[in-house]
Amino acid sequence: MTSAPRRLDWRVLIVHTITFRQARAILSSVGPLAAIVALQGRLGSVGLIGIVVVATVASLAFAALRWWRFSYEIDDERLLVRQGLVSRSERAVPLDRVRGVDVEASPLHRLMRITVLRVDAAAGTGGDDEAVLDAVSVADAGRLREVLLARRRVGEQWAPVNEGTATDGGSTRVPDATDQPAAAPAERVFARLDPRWLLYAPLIGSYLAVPLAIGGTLLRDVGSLPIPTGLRDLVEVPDGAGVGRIALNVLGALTVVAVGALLAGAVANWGFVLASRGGTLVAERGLLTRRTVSLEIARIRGYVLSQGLGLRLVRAARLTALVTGLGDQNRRGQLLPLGPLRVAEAVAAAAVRRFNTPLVPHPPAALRRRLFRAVGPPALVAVVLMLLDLPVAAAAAAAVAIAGIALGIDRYRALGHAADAAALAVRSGSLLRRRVVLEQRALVGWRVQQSWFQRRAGLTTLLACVGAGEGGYEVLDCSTAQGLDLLHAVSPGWAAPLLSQAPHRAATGRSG
Amino acid sequence: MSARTVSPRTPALQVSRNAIGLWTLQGVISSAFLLVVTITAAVLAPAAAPAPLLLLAAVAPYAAGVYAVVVVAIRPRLRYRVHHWEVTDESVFTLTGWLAQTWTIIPIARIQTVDINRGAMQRLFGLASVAVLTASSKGTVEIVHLDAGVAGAVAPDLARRAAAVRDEAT
Repeated sequence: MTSAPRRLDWRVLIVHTITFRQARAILSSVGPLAAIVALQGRLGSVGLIGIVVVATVASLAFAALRWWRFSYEIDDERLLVRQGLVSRSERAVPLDRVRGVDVEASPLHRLMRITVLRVDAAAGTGGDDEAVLDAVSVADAGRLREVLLARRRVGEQWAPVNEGTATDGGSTRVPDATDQPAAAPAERVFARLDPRWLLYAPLIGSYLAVPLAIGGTLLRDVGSLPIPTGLRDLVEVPDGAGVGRIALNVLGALTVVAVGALLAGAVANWGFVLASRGGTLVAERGLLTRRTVSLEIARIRGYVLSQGLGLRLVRAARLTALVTGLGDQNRRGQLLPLGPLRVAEAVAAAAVRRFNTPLVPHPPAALRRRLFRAVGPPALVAVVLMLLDLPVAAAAAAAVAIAGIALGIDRYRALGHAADAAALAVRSGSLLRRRVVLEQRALVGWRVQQSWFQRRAGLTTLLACVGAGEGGYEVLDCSTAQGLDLLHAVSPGWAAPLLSQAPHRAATGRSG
Repeated sequence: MSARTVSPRTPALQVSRNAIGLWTLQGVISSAFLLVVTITAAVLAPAAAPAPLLLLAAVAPYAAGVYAVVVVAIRPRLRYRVHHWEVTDESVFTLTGWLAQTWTIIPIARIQTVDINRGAMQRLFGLASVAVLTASSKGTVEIVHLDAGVAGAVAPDLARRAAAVRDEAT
C-alpha cells in the first residue's frame, strides 16, 4: 500500500495569520519602525489601517507559503514530513519508533476545529525526535493517532483501523475529514478529575515556596496596587502594629499564591481524563488549550507516586508513568496530575500494574545516618556561630538542627523497598516523598554504592538503572544483606556474579 | 566485622600494570606544576605582605611536597589495587573506589554501545579504556586503562554478544 502526500488542514492558515506564526520574524524588524512612524503622527488613521492590512496580508502570505510547501504521508514503514520553502527538509519517523502521540489545541485551534499533532519517537531517528503537524482536523488527528500507534502493535499485518480507510479506494491511509467518523474504539476510563481535587493545587510545594518570597516583597508596596479602599485599609495597618502588618502581608501573599495556584491548576488540568483505547493510554486535559497525550502501554515500565509535604498532609499525590524512550517524562507521563492518594494508587494499579508486597523497612543504622545528616550540619553551624559570639544566628541554626530531628526521623520512615515476581518498589524522601514501582525487565544495570561510613554501619545504597524517567532510582541505605537479597530476587541471572561467594577478602585485598 | 561478611564480590581482573606508570606520570606533572607555582610564590612574596599571607606562602611549598609524595608514590599503586573488572557470560561488572566503593553490573543483553577510548597519554603507555553504554544515562560502565590489546579484544566481543542477545524490553 502506498499513500499520497497530504497537506495540512487549510484552516490553520487563519490561525497562523492571526498569530503571525510565520511572519513573526519579519514583524519583529518591521514592527518597531512602523510603530515609530505611527507615533510621530505622520500617519492618519488611514495609514494605520494600511499598516494593519499590509501586516495581515504579509502574515497570510507567509502562512500560505508554509502550508503550500508542507506535506506529510504515512506508508507501511514511516511517517514522512516534507517542508521548507527553498531548502527542503524531509523527516522520516519509522513507525516502530513512535512512542507517543500528543494532540494539542489552543483556543484558536479549537475554534477552527483543528489540532496540533506531535509525534514522539525514540532516540535514534536523528535530530530532535519530534515530528509536528500544525495543524490537522480533529477527525484526522484521531485517525492519525490510531494509525501511528496501531502500526506498532499489529506489526507487518497492518490492517485498516476503521471502515473509513477501507472505503478510501486503498490509495490513502488517512481518510479525509469528510469521511464518516470512525467507530469509537473500546475505551476504559481509569480516572476523571474531580474539580474538588483542584483544592490540592495550592499545597504543591513548588507553587508555595517560591512565590511566597516574591509576594512578600510585592505587598510591601501594597498602596500602589489597585485594591479597593476598604481592603487596603485592612492591609495598611498603622506603623505601630509591625507584627500585625507583617502577618497580614503574609496572609495576603498566601491568599494570592493559593488562588493563583488554584487557577493555574484549573487551567492546566480541567477536565482531566485518563483512559485506555486499544493499546494506548490516553490522557486528556486543559481548560483553554486542550491537550491529549497518548502513551503506548507496551512501553510503560512502571510509575512514580510523588507527594510533596503539603500533599502528604492531606493524603494526596500525583502519579507519573515511567515510559522507555519517552522525552519530557514528567509532563508527558502524567497519569494523574493531582488527586487523593487512594485514587492515585488505584489508578496506578489499574493502568500500570498492581504491587501489593509490603515494603521492607531499612535497618536502624539507616535512621542514625539520616539523623546525623539532617542534624549534623546545622548543629555544626550553630556551634561555630556561638563561638563567633552571634547568639541570634546560633539560635536560628540550633532551631534548624532541632527541626532536623523530625526531618531525619521522617526521612528514615520513608525508606523501604520490596520486590514481587515482576517488579520492585522503592520509597524515600520527606519533603518530597516518592514511591517508585519499576518492572524488573526494565532494568539495564545495578550500581552498588558504599561509602566508608556506610561500610562501617553495614549499609549500602543501590541504584536501579532504567532507560526511563531519571535513568536510575535509589534504594537508599538498606543493609548490605538486604541489598544483596534484593539483587538476587530481582536479577538472579545477570547480577549473580556480584553475589557469588568467590574467595575474597576485603574489597581492596586482592594483592598481587 | 559482620558488615564485611556480606559484601558484593570483587571482580576477578585488574587493569593493566602500565596504568601505574600513567597515573604516576600524571601525578608528576600535576605536582611539578604545583611545586613551581608555590615555590615561586614563596620566593617572590613581598616582605610587606600581611602576616597570614606570608605564613601561607611559606607553608604552601611543603604542602605541595606532601601532595607530590601522595600522588606520585602512593596513589597510583592504591588506584591500581582498587580498580577491578570482569566480563562473565551474562554481564559486565566493575568495582572502583577506595573509601567510597562502587560496584556496577550491566547485563550484556542491555548493552547498547561499546566504545574504546584512547587518550594521548594512554597511547604512550599502550592503554585504552572501554565504555559500555545502555539506555540509561546512569547505567554506564567505564573500564579504564586496559592493555590496548585487551580492550581491542573485549570491546568487539561485548558488542557482538550484545547484538546476539539484545532484547527490546528497554
